Amino acid sequence: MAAPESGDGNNGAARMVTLISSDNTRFEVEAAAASLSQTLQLTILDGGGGGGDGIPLPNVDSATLSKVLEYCIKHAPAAANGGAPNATAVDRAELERFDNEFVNIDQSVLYSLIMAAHNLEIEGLQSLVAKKVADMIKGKSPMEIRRTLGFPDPTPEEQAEMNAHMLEYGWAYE
Amino acid sequence: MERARPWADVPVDLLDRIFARLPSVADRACCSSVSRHWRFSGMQREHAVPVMLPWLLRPSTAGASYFRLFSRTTTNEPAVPENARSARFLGSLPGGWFFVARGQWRGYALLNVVTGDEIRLPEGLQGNRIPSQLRLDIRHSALLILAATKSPALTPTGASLSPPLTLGHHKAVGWSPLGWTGGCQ
Repeated sequence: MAAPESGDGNNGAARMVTLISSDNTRFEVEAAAASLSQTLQLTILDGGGGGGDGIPLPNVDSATLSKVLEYCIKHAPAAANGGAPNATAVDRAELERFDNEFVNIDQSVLYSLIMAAHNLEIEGLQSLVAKKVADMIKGKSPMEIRRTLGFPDPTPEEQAEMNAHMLEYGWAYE
Repeated sequence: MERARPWADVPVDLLDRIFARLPSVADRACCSSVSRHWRFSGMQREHAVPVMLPWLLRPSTAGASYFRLFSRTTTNEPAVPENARSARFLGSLPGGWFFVARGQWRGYALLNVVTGDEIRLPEGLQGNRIPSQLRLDIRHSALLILAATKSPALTPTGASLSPPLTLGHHKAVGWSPLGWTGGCQ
């Protein structure tokens, strides 16, 4: 679970940083894990987030942030190894199992996750959720996609547009 | 009345990531029908919104129709050109063009089911407008077209029109309503 110790500590691999969610909950995590976020990485490299300061994240609530950090902590060791070229097959299988389990959640949580990953620029997490959503809508009709992702019922105009579009691309729905 | 619509308003670059994971044209067509926002996002991506085909022209003496490959059903919409009635389907080209043989003796034609245009292809290697390299030993030799493709601007009247035709004996020629445009062996 712990990030690999770096020899001199100058690159901040074992440093701890504090993140503050929109509802003011404080999360203390290793800088290596938080650095999976491109946005946070810059702040951390500048020496931010240490001590009592903390980095405020006004767009991310605590439930989402704890989920995001769960992902970051799990993926940090592999990321520190440069995408894990020397990871064992067992390690990779374990990460894959974790990922599959991790996104096995409700669409509204997936939405919060991908938005947070988007804001924090966490590449792996954005791809992971995008893949999950693609799998969820694969083979579904437009109406089924709307239901799967919790769209509101279409307005009459929207329904008319969908019908027109369906006529044009009718073959795809059959 | 406020309605929650998170996925309905998801940012374009995230939708793009999702669409990128959907290689099937059918899935992409469905996604582009989900909502206007999704449709416009899909269009940002090249080839994300697929073309209307694939259908096959299904000629019949009782009136031609289209065969939909996906549903395995037959449809008459859009209207099938009258001149496709007894045509033999040989291939299709982008832009709604079908390459057909017009019955057994009436030669070949390109039919456009979208615009209703018809381009009749030459019936044989006759006349003195044929390039010398196409002349065969036999006079009035009948034309057997094995395949046809089209130049980018294919219109019945366009001067730039030149669908190269492939003849037997490994001859490929360019042709337009204005005449033969050359050939090679």
